[in-house]
Amino acid sequence: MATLSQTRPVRRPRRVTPGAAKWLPVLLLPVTVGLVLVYFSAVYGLALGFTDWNLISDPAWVGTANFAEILDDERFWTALRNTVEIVAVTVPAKVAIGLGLAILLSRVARLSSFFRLALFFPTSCSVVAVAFLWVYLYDPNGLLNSWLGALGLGTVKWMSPDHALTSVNVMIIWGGVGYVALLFLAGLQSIPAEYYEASRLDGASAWRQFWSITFPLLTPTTFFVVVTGIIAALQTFGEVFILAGPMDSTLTIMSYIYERAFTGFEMGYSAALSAFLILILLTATGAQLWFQRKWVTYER
Amino acid sequence: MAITRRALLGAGLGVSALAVLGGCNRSSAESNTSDGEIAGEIRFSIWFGSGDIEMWEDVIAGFAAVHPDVSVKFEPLEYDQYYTKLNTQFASGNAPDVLGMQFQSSIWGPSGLLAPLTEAVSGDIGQVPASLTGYGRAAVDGTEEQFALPWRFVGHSLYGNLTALAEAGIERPDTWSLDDLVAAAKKLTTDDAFGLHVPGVSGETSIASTFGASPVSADGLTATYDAAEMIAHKSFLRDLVHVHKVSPGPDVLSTQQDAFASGQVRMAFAGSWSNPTYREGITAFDWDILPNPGGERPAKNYAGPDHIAVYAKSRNLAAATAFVQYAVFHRDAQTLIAATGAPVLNDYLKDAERIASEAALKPAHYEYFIDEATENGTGWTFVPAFAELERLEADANYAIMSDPGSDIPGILADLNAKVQSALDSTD
Repeated sequence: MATLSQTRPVRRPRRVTPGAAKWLPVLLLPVTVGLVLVYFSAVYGLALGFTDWNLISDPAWVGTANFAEILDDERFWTALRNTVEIVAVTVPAKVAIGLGLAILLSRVARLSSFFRLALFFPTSCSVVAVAFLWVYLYDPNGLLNSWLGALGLGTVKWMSPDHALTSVNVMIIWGGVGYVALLFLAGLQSIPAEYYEASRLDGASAWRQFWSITFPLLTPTTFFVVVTGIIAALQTFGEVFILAGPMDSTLTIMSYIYERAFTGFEMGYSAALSAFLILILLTATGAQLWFQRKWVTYER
Repeated sequence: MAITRRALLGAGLGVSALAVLGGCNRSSAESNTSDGEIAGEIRFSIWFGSGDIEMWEDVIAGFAAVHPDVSVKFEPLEYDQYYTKLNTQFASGNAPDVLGMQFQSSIWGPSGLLAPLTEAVSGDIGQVPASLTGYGRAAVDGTEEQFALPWRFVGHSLYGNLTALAEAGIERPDTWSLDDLVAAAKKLTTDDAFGLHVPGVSGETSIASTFGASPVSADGLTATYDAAEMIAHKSFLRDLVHVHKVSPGPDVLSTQQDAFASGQVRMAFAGSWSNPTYREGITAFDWDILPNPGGERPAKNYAGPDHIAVYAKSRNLAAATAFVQYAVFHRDAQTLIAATGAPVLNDYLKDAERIASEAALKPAHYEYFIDEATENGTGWTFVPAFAELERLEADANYAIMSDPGSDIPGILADLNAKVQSALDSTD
């Protein structure tokens, strides 16, 4: 009687020829160097979190004091709250607007290349350049207030503590939505047209087609966009470094880490903050990987 | 000819090895020629403001004429980036041979990061006012060492739009009070422009001093934001915005233009480093320095020196020291440097001919700036926790100025506690 293992194709080990084997050390060298640099830096950074180091004198061991200080640090909680708001606003907005734009783009026959290029252009620009552009837009005498003035409306203090984070969120959405739209467009184009034809024959409405065909088959793309979007949003730095609001209104975890490290020169404390951020990133990503089984549909 | 993979790999490794060896060779390039003259390459890094890069390039060219065997690699940086990069360079042991700083030598010198210059400059140090050289000195094992030297002297003044003053029927006063200042600001305020702008922190020095207010004690160890004098001073500034309506509140002025040069404000406290920009950029109106208004106490000017020092691990200490000496003590260098502030040499600082030539370029009352900065100058925020102090006070100012009913004593008490914590934690 044949067993299950006998029915599987036998995987034969790939043999390395003697000629190729001598190149292995050379080929493995860059990989090894890369891995050592990455993991050494990570472990070294974590170890720094247990020290008091100002970059100049030698690091002094302080145990878990830095980690304990974080819990009582009012500014850390402000930074965390702001960062969570950026995640909660920009990720869903980029998904919703990006999907809408992708659907529109998929129906545009003429000038589609132009529209794709126009949408992707902000993503290809550096964050710093984009942020400086928005500094001019949000200036008290800037373009946005000029337009409002021309319409007879009052001016807005875009970068006041009440509005600054919303202003930053708008900029982040503007800068990232094109990339998301192109990912969704690629996902839309991979859905077989037969599915839509068959559903049309069954009398399905466009709305029904969207919820029963388009959206489920786009869930792998949505999952990718959400995971990478959350990771990027949790690491927001360049945008708020250039477009900083007063009174910590746009302070994020990354900008706080930078400030403590390179303005206060408290490398130990900022390393401890970095460890916290990694923990948050791992938890967020792990939770998404766990829950994706419940909502992501992979076509078989 | 066919190129084998082995030959290609060998060539690649060979090029890499040559590059590494070349780098080693360059990093060890040094110093004295056979006849004892200094030689080699040095790196010089400093932050820059308007006009600074061109000025330093000219100073470096002048140094090269005196020391042709030394090449200076100039690495200017934006102020915001300068100290971040410098500290990481300290950590990696790769700081520039010559470096600029403000007031950090009292920490960096005793920490072993800066080379003592005491012996090298002992013959020349008397050329610089003692009030300016003190910031660069620090004690090591009970012995005072000169770790940094002032290369430029900068300060704040009250700049006035003379054209607007004349149109408002106000003559440039020789002396005036805070009440006179407010009255003039009211006349100058229009729908398009504010009469007076007092930028935060160091820009407030002149007015704060008339109330007897200062952010920290004279020794720089104690925060004094919660003093009655500071509360009176901040209340005066808030009244300028909300009661007299002559000054802009937060988020009103464009951040993309200089408030005074663009005509958004008619009188403003600004730094002497703005002079080159104002000279070139202001064509729509006439301008000058106005006297500091007096109050219960005499006004002081925010003023102090910028410093230059030598990295202790410099591989070319002789050339680096020579460059510092040239920038500080050589008349040609100081002539170039004076365009962005004031020189530091005793005989040149108050030289009548120099002052007349600067005044001819504007501000016409340049001499008033020199007199006030040297005789009534104060650098009370020249403490190691300066960046933290500046951030905390800016936030407190925002809270005070944005609300006509703000709780000034409460905000300042909170600010005082935070600044004291920052002062205490500075090591």
